[in-house]
Amino acid sequence: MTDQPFLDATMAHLDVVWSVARRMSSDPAEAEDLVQETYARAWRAFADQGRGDVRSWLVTICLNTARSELRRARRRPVTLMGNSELDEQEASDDVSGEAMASVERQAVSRALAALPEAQRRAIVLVDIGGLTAREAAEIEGSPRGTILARLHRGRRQLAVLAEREGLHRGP
Amino acid sequence: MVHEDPRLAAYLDADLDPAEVEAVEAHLLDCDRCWQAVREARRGRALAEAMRELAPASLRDRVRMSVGAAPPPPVRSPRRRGRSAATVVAVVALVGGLVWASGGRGAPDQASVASVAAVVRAAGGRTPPSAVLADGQEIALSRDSLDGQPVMVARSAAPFDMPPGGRHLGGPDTPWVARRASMTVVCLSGPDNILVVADLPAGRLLAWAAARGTSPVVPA
Repeated sequence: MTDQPFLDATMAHLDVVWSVARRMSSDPAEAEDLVQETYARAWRAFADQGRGDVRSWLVTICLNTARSELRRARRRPVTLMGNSELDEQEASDDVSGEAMASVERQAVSRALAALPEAQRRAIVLVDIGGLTAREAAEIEGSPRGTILARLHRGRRQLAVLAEREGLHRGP
Repeated sequence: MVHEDPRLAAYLDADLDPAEVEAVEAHLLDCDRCWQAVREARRGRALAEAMRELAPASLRDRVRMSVGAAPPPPVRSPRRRGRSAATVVAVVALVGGLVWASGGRGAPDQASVASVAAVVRAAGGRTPPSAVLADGQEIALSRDSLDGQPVMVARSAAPFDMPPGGRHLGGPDTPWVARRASMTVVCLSGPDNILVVADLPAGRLLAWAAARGTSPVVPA
Protein backbone atom coordinates (compact mmCIF):
# COMPACT_ATOMS: atom_id res chain seq x y z
CA MET A 1 0.00 0.00 0.00
CA THR A 2 1.37 3.45 -0.90
CA ASP A 3 1.32 6.13 1.77
CA GLN A 4 -0.20 8.80 -0.48
CA PRO A 5 -3.89 7.99 0.20
CA PHE A 6 -3.09 8.01 3.92
CA LEU A 7 -1.33 11.36 3.72
CA ASP A 8 -4.11 12.81 1.58
CA ALA A 9 -6.70 11.75 4.15
CA THR A 10 -4.84 12.75 7.29
CA MET A 11 -2.45 15.63 6.73
CA ALA A 12 -5.29 18.12 6.45
CA HIS A 13 -5.98 17.44 10.13
CA LEU A 14 -2.41 17.93 11.34
CA ASP A 15 -3.16 21.34 12.87
CA VAL A 16 -6.04 19.87 14.90
CA VAL A 17 -3.93 16.95 16.11
CA TRP A 18 -1.11 19.33 16.94
CA SER A 19 -3.43 21.64 18.92
CA VAL A 20 -4.78 18.70 20.91
CA ALA A 21 -1.29 17.29 21.44
CA ARG A 22 -0.03 20.64 22.74
CA ARG A 23 -2.72 20.65 25.43
CA MET A 24 -1.92 17.05 26.36
CA SER A 25 1.84 17.56 26.59
CA SER A 26 4.10 19.43 28.91
CA ASP A 27 6.23 21.01 26.19
CA PRO A 28 6.40 21.41 22.40
CA ALA A 29 9.02 18.69 21.94
CA GLU A 30 6.82 16.18 23.74
CA ALA A 31 3.85 17.34 21.68
CA GLU A 32 5.81 16.77 18.45
CA ASP A 33 6.68 13.24 19.57
CA LEU A 34 3.02 12.65 20.41
CA VAL A 35 1.89 13.81 16.97
CA GLN A 36 4.47 11.66 15.23
CA GLU A 37 3.44 8.61 17.25
CA THR A 38 -0.21 9.37 16.53
CA TYR A 39 0.43 9.38 12.80
CA ALA A 40 2.56 6.23 13.03
CA ARG A 41 -0.27 4.37 14.76
CA ALA A 42 -2.82 5.80 12.35
CA TRP A 43 -0.73 4.65 9.40
CA ARG A 44 -0.55 1.10 10.78
CA ALA A 45 -4.32 1.05 11.30
CA PHE A 46 -5.32 2.97 8.17
CA ALA A 47 -6.60 -0.07 6.28
CA ASP A 48 -9.14 -0.66 9.07
CA GLN A 49 -10.26 2.91 9.38
CA GLY A 50 -13.19 2.45 7.02
CA ARG A 51 -15.13 5.51 6.00
CA GLY A 52 -15.50 7.07 9.42
CA ASP A 53 -14.58 10.63 10.29
CA VAL A 54 -10.80 10.89 9.93
CA ARG A 55 -10.39 13.90 12.21
CA SER A 56 -12.26 12.26 15.07
CA TRP A 57 -10.30 9.05 14.49
CA LEU A 58 -6.96 10.85 14.65
CA VAL A 59 -7.92 12.78 17.79
CA THR A 60 -8.96 9.52 19.44
CA ILE A 61 -5.59 7.93 18.62
CA CYS A 62 -3.82 11.04 19.88
CA LEU A 63 -5.68 10.94 23.21
CA ASN A 64 -5.12 7.20 23.64
CA THR A 65 -1.44 7.64 22.87
CA ALA A 66 -1.18 10.51 25.36
CA ARG A 67 -2.88 8.36 27.99
CA SER A 68 -0.54 5.44 27.45
CA GLU A 69 2.47 7.77 27.49
CA LEU A 70 1.21 9.22 30.75
CA ARG A 71 0.75 5.75 32.24
CA ARG A 72 4.26 4.87 31.17
CA ALA A 73 5.66 8.05 32.67
CA ARG A 74 3.86 7.73 35.99
CA ARG A 75 7.02 6.42 37.56
CA ARG A 76 8.60 9.82 37.21
CA PRO A 77 7.09 13.16 38.19
CA VAL A 78 5.09 14.64 35.36
CA THR A 79 3.02 17.79 35.14
CA LEU A 80 0.41 17.24 32.46
CA MET A 81 -0.12 20.52 30.67
CA GLY A 82 1.88 22.11 33.41
CA ASN A 83 3.82 25.30 33.61
CA SER A 84 7.01 24.05 32.02
CA GLU A 85 5.64 25.09 28.66
CA LEU A 86 5.45 28.62 29.95
CA ASP A 87 9.20 28.84 30.21
CA GLU A 88 9.65 28.56 26.53
CA GLN A 89 8.19 29.75 23.34
CA GLU A 90 9.53 28.60 20.04
CA ALA A 91 8.80 31.89 18.42
CA SER A 92 10.13 30.87 15.05
CA ASP A 93 7.63 28.02 14.78
CA ASP A 94 4.68 29.49 16.64
CA VAL A 95 2.77 31.16 13.83
CA SER A 96 -0.30 31.48 16.04
CA GLY A 97 1.50 34.23 17.90
CA GLU A 98 -0.09 36.56 15.38
CA ALA A 99 -3.54 35.51 16.56
CA MET A 100 -2.95 35.93 20.26
CA ALA A 101 -0.19 37.71 22.10
CA SER A 102 2.21 35.34 23.77
CA VAL A 103 1.40 36.62 27.21
CA GLU A 104 -2.30 36.00 26.66
CA ARG A 105 -1.66 32.49 25.42
CA GLN A 106 0.34 31.76 28.52
CA ALA A 107 -2.43 33.08 30.72
CA VAL A 108 -5.04 30.94 28.98
CA SER A 109 -2.70 27.97 29.10
CA ARG A 110 -2.34 28.37 32.86
CA ALA A 111 -6.10 28.75 33.24
CA LEU A 112 -6.70 25.59 31.16
CA ALA A 113 -4.19 23.66 33.23
CA ALA A 114 -6.04 24.69 36.38
CA LEU A 115 -9.36 23.23 35.24
CA PRO A 116 -10.58 19.86 36.52
CA GLU A 117 -9.35 17.09 34.21
CA ALA A 118 -12.78 16.15 32.82
CA GLN A 119 -13.65 19.74 31.97
CA ARG A 120 -10.28 20.33 30.38
CA ARG A 121 -10.61 17.23 28.22
CA ALA A 122 -14.05 18.29 27.05
CA ILE A 123 -12.70 21.71 26.07
CA VAL A 124 -9.67 20.19 24.35
CA LEU A 125 -11.86 17.84 22.32
CA VAL A 126 -14.58 20.31 21.34
CA ASP A 127 -13.17 23.84 21.40
CA ILE A 128 -9.60 23.05 20.43
CA GLY A 129 -10.01 19.73 18.60
CA GLY A 130 -13.14 20.89 16.80
CA LEU A 131 -15.20 17.78 17.52
CA THR A 132 -18.92 17.89 18.19
CA ALA A 133 -20.21 17.16 21.68
CA ARG A 134 -21.57 13.88 20.34
CA GLU A 135 -18.17 12.84 18.95
CA ALA A 136 -16.50 13.82 22.24
CA ALA A 137 -19.09 11.76 24.10
CA GLU A 138 -18.22 8.72 21.96
CA ILE A 139 -14.53 9.14 22.69
CA GLU A 140 -15.00 9.72 26.40
CA GLY A 141 -17.61 7.02 26.83
CA SER A 142 -19.91 9.51 28.54
CA PRO A 143 -23.42 10.70 27.69
CA ARG A 144 -23.61 13.77 25.46
CA GLY A 145 -25.33 15.70 28.26
CA THR A 146 -22.39 15.06 30.56
CA ILE A 147 -19.96 16.41 27.97
CA LEU A 148 -22.13 19.49 27.44
CA ALA A 149 -22.28 20.13 31.19
CA ARG A 150 -18.48 19.78 31.49
CA LEU A 151 -18.05 22.12 28.55
CA HIS A 152 -20.32 24.75 30.03
CA ARG A 153 -18.75 24.69 33.48
CA GLY A 154 -15.24 24.47 32.06
CA ARG A 155 -15.74 27.41 29.72
CA ARG A 156 -17.13 29.57 32.49
CA GLN A 157 -14.33 28.60 34.81
CA LEU A 158 -11.80 29.26 32.07
CA ALA A 159 -13.17 32.77 31.58
CA VAL A 160 -13.00 33.46 35.30
CA LEU A 161 -9.49 32.04 35.68
CA ALA A 162 -8.20 33.87 32.61
CA GLU A 163 -9.55 37.12 33.98
CA ARG A 164 -7.75 36.46 37.24
CA GLU A 165 -4.64 35.88 35.17
CA GLY A 166 -4.97 39.41 33.96
CA LEU A 167 -6.82 38.97 30.68
CA HIS A 168 -9.36 41.67 30.02
CA ARG A 169 -13.00 40.79 29.86
CA GLY A 170 -14.27 40.54 26.31
CA PRO A 171 -17.00 42.68 24.84
CA MET B 1 -36.30 25.09 31.30
CA VAL B 2 -34.47 25.88 34.50
CA HIS B 3 -30.74 26.70 34.62
CA GLU B 4 -29.60 23.60 32.76
CA ASP B 5 -25.88 23.58 31.96
CA PRO B 6 -26.08 21.02 29.12
CA ARG B 7 -28.94 22.91 27.49
CA LEU B 8 -27.08 26.22 27.71
CA ALA B 9 -23.91 24.64 26.27
CA ALA B 10 -25.91 23.11 23.42
CA TYR B 11 -27.48 26.52 22.80
CA LEU B 12 -24.07 28.17 22.63
CA ASP B 13 -22.89 25.53 20.16
CA ALA B 14 -26.01 25.83 17.99
CA ASP B 15 -26.78 22.20 18.76
CA LEU B 16 -30.49 22.58 19.51
CA ASP B 17 -33.55 22.34 17.31
CA PRO B 18 -35.49 25.56 16.62
CA ALA B 19 -38.14 24.91 19.28
CA GLU B 20 -35.46 24.38 21.93
CA VAL B 21 -33.60 27.50 20.83
CA GLU B 22 -36.80 29.48 21.23
CA ALA B 23 -37.34 28.04 24.71
CA VAL B 24 -33.78 28.80 25.81
CA GLU B 25 -33.92 32.36 24.48
CA ALA B 26 -37.21 32.97 26.22
CA HIS B 27 -35.63 31.76 29.43
CA LEU B 28 -32.52 33.89 28.96
CA LEU B 29 -34.64 37.02 28.65
CA ASP B 30 -36.05 36.38 32.10
CA CYS B 31 -33.05 34.90 33.89
CA ASP B 32 -30.05 37.11 34.61
CA ARG B 33 -28.14 34.19 36.07
CA CYS B 34 -28.32 32.12 32.89
CA TRP B 35 -27.74 35.19 30.74
CA GLN B 36 -24.50 35.87 32.58
CA ALA B 37 -23.58 32.18 32.45
CA VAL B 38 -23.94 32.13 28.67
CA ARG B 39 -21.89 35.32 28.30
CA GLU B 40 -19.16 33.83 30.47
CA ALA B 41 -19.18 30.50 28.66
CA ARG B 42 -19.00 32.28 25.31
CA ARG B 43 -15.95 34.17 26.54
CA GLY B 44 -14.36 30.94 27.76
CA ARG B 45 -15.04 29.20 24.47
CA ALA B 46 -13.43 32.08 22.54
CA LEU B 47 -10.35 31.86 24.75
CA ALA B 48 -10.11 28.10 24.24
CA GLU B 49 -10.62 28.35 20.47
CA ALA B 50 -7.83 30.90 20.31
CA MET B 51 -5.50 28.19 21.60
CA ARG B 52 -5.74 26.35 18.31
CA GLU B 53 -2.37 26.43 16.64
CA LEU B 54 -0.90 25.76 13.25
CA ALA B 55 1.49 22.85 13.37
CA PRO B 56 5.12 23.84 12.85
CA ALA B 57 6.26 23.39 9.26
CA SER B 58 9.10 21.21 10.49
CA LEU B 59 6.59 18.83 12.11
CA ARG B 60 4.68 18.51 8.84
CA ASP B 61 7.88 17.39 7.12
CA ARG B 62 8.81 15.12 10.00
CA VAL B 63 5.46 13.31 9.91
CA ARG B 64 5.59 12.87 6.13
CA MET B 65 9.09 11.51 6.31
CA SER B 66 8.37 9.11 9.15
CA VAL B 67 5.30 7.72 7.39
CA GLY B 68 7.23 7.39 4.14
CA ALA B 69 10.03 5.55 5.90
CA ALA B 70 7.72 3.17 7.77
CA PRO B 71 6.96 -0.24 6.28
CA PRO B 72 3.51 -0.45 4.71
CA PRO B 73 0.85 -1.72 7.11
CA PRO B 74 0.02 -5.40 6.73
CA VAL B 75 -2.90 -6.19 4.47
CA ARG B 76 -5.02 -8.63 6.38
CA SER B 77 -7.07 -11.39 4.88
CA PRO B 78 -10.46 -11.36 6.60
CA ARG B 79 -11.14 -15.02 5.84
CA ARG B 80 -7.80 -16.22 7.08
CA ARG B 81 -7.80 -14.13 10.22
CA GLY B 82 -11.36 -14.47 11.34
CA ARG B 83 -14.87 -14.02 10.17
CA SER B 84 -15.64 -12.14 7.00
CA ALA B 85 -16.95 -8.62 7.37
CA ALA B 86 -20.24 -9.78 5.85
CA THR B 87 -20.63 -12.39 8.57
CA VAL B 88 -19.93 -9.83 11.23
CA VAL B 89 -22.54 -7.50 9.78
CA ALA B 90 -25.05 -10.34 9.97
CA VAL B 91 -24.12 -11.16 13.57
CA VAL B 92 -24.23 -7.49 14.54
CA ALA B 93 -27.66 -7.19 12.96
CA LEU B 94 -28.78 -10.32 14.75
CA VAL B 95 -27.44 -9.31 18.14
CA GLY B 96 -28.58 -5.71 17.71
CA GLY B 97 -32.02 -6.89 16.73
CA LEU B 98 -32.21 -9.05 19.82
CA VAL B 99 -31.43 -6.03 21.96
CA TRP B 100 -34.31 -4.21 20.35
CA ALA B 101 -36.57 -7.21 20.74
CA SER B 102 -35.67 -7.42 24.41
CA GLY B 103 -36.59 -3.84 25.13
CA GLY B 104 -33.78 -1.54 23.96
CA ARG B 105 -34.78 2.09 23.42
CA GLY B 106 -33.44 2.50 19.91
CA ALA B 107 -35.55 2.01 16.84
CA PRO B 108 -34.49 -1.13 15.02
CA ASP B 109 -33.38 -0.97 11.44
CA GLN B 110 -35.20 -3.21 9.03
CA ALA B 111 -32.17 -5.41 8.40
CA SER B 112 -31.85 -6.17 12.11
CA VAL B 113 -35.47 -7.15 12.43
CA ALA B 114 -35.33 -9.27 9.29
CA SER B 115 -32.17 -11.05 10.47
CA VAL B 116 -33.60 -11.79 13.87
CA ALA B 117 -36.84 -12.99 12.44
CA ALA B 118 -35.03 -15.28 9.99
CA VAL B 119 -32.76 -16.81 12.61
CA VAL B 120 -35.53 -17.28 15.13
CA ARG B 121 -37.71 -18.89 12.47
CA ALA B 122 -34.85 -21.17 11.43
CA ALA B 123 -34.37 -22.17 15.05
CA GLY B 124 -38.00 -23.14 15.11
CA GLY B 125 -38.79 -21.35 18.35
CA ARG B 126 -40.05 -18.06 19.63
CA THR B 127 -37.20 -17.35 21.98
CA PRO B 128 -33.90 -15.89 20.82
CA PRO B 129 -31.33 -18.53 19.88
CA SER B 130 -28.50 -19.24 22.29
CA ALA B 131 -26.06 -20.00 19.50
CA VAL B 132 -25.75 -19.61 15.75
CA LEU B 133 -23.37 -21.07 13.21
CA ALA B 134 -21.33 -18.79 10.95
CA ASP B 135 -18.50 -19.93 8.67
CA GLY B 136 -18.72 -23.28 10.41
CA GLN B 137 -17.93 -21.74 13.79
CA GLU B 138 -20.37 -21.58 16.66
CA ILE B 139 -21.17 -18.15 18.05
CA ALA B 140 -22.66 -18.31 21.54
CA LEU B 141 -25.27 -15.65 22.27
CA SER B 142 -26.36 -14.44 25.68
CA ARG B 143 -28.30 -11.57 27.17
CA ASP B 144 -27.27 -9.34 30.03
CA SER B 145 -27.99 -5.85 31.29
CA LEU B 146 -25.94 -2.76 32.06
CA ASP B 147 -27.13 0.56 33.49
CA GLY B 148 -30.68 -0.67 33.02
CA GLN B 149 -30.11 -1.34 29.33
CA PRO B 150 -30.23 -4.78 27.74
CA VAL B 151 -26.89 -5.97 26.39
CA MET B 152 -26.48 -8.82 23.95
CA VAL B 153 -23.20 -10.72 23.95
CA ALA B 154 -21.73 -12.89 21.20
CA ARG B 155 -18.70 -15.07 21.91
CA SER B 156 -16.61 -17.08 19.51
CA ALA B 157 -13.31 -18.89 19.35
CA ALA B 158 -12.54 -17.04 16.09
CA PRO B 159 -12.09 -13.27 16.00
CA PHE B 160 -14.75 -10.97 14.57
CA ASP B 161 -13.39 -8.76 11.81
CA MET B 162 -14.48 -5.16 11.84
CA PRO B 163 -17.44 -4.32 9.58
CA PRO B 164 -17.47 -1.27 7.26
CA GLY B 165 -17.87 1.96 9.18
CA GLY B 166 -16.21 0.64 12.32
CA ARG B 167 -12.98 1.96 13.73
CA HIS B 168 -10.20 0.55 15.84
CA LEU B 169 -9.33 2.39 19.03
CA GLY B 170 -5.65 2.06 18.26
CA GLY B 171 -3.72 -0.32 16.03
CA PRO B 172 -5.20 -3.20 14.02
CA ASP B 173 -5.25 -5.59 16.97
CA THR B 174 -7.04 -3.24 19.34
CA PRO B 175 -10.77 -3.31 20.12
CA TRP B 176 -13.06 -1.91 17.47
CA VAL B 177 -16.27 0.06 17.78
CA ALA B 178 -19.10 0.46 15.28
CA ARG B 179 -22.56 1.96 15.29
CA ARG B 180 -25.68 0.33 13.90
CA ALA B 181 -28.84 2.45 14.09
CA SER B 182 -28.82 3.63 17.72
CA MET B 183 -26.76 0.66 18.87
CA THR B 184 -23.09 0.65 19.80
CA VAL B 185 -21.12 -2.45 18.87
CA VAL B 186 -17.87 -3.14 20.69
CA CYS B 187 -15.58 -6.05 19.89
CA LEU B 188 -12.59 -7.25 21.87
CA SER B 189 -10.20 -9.91 20.71
CA GLY B 190 -8.12 -12.04 23.00
CA PRO B 191 -8.16 -15.63 24.17
CA ASP B 192 -11.93 -15.30 23.99
CA ASN B 193 -13.45 -13.10 21.28
CA ILE B 194 -16.42 -11.11 22.48
CA LEU B 195 -18.81 -8.81 20.64
CA VAL B 196 -21.34 -6.80 22.65
CA VAL B 197 -24.20 -4.62 21.47
CA ALA B 198 -26.27 -2.13 23.46
CA ASP B 199 -27.75 1.35 23.35
CA LEU B 200 -24.93 2.72 25.51
CA PRO B 201 -21.80 4.86 25.02
CA ALA B 202 -18.83 3.00 23.58
CA GLY B 203 -16.53 3.67 26.53
CA ARG B 204 -19.01 2.30 29.04
CA LEU B 205 -19.63 -0.77 26.93
CA LEU B 206 -15.93 -1.32 26.34
CA ALA B 207 -15.14 -1.26 30.06
CA TRP B 208 -17.98 -3.64 30.74
CA ALA B 209 -16.93 -6.02 27.97
CA ALA B 210 -13.32 -5.97 29.13
CA ALA B 211 -14.48 -7.11 32.55
CA ARG B 212 -16.35 -10.08 31.06
CA GLY B 213 -13.40 -12.38 31.07
CA THR B 214 -11.53 -11.73 27.86
CA SER B 215 -8.09 -10.19 27.71
CA PRO B 216 -8.38 -7.39 25.20
CA VAL B 217 -5.42 -5.87 23.43
CA VAL B 218 -5.83 -2.22 24.31
CA PRO B 219 -4.01 0.57 22.50
CA ALA B 220 -0.49 0.61 23.87
